Amino acid sequence: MNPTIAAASVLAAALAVGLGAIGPGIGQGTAAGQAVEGIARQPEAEGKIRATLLLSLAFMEALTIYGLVVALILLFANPFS
Amino acid sequence: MNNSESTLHSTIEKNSESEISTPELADNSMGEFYQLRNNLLMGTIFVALVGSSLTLFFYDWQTSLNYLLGTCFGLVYLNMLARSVERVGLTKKTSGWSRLAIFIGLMIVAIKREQLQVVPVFLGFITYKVAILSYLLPLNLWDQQNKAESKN
Repeated sequence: MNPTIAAASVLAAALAVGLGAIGPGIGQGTAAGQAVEGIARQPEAEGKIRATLLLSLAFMEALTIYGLVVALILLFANPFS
Repeated sequence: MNNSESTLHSTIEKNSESEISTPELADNSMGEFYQLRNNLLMGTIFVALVGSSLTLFFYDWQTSLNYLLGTCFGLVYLNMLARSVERVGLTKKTSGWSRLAIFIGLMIVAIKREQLQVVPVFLGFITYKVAILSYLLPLNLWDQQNKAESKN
């Protein structure tokens, strides 16, 4: 593989994972914090709050997974090599 | 003196009753969460069976097996996510790396092995999102319809 392409691919993979994880990370932290706060205020609604948290976390973590897919393909099955 | 003692006793009894009833209340309220988790797991299995049979019909059995492999890992991932949500607020350490490690391992194996194809494995892994959407959309539409009817 061309060294320039290899270096660019590694950099792009790092950026894809790093930048792709920032948004979902902040979102997941905020959502989990608010959920815990809600459970502390209303313990009787714990099941409902956790169910909503599960759904929102499933959607948020998918964004990290998309970044990971791009990074893994760039690293292990680079289409530009 | 007797009055104050009886008040004290009743307060203590009330407190002890509330202490006993709170965990029971929490257990009862968690029923909705467990129901959602089971619905999502069963929905994912159902969508996976439909998807794999469609893949078998339009492509070949190898692609179908790849899709099923991705779905199995997606189920494990969803179960781990549900377990971590169940533990939110109860334990200090919550890490999503073990969940992502499953996905990374699956994708690396799919890329490296000649027998496995990346796209069906990835789409199989993402099947849980289809199950979530198919669970949420009817609920949302039904809710909106109810709101519109109550306005009228």
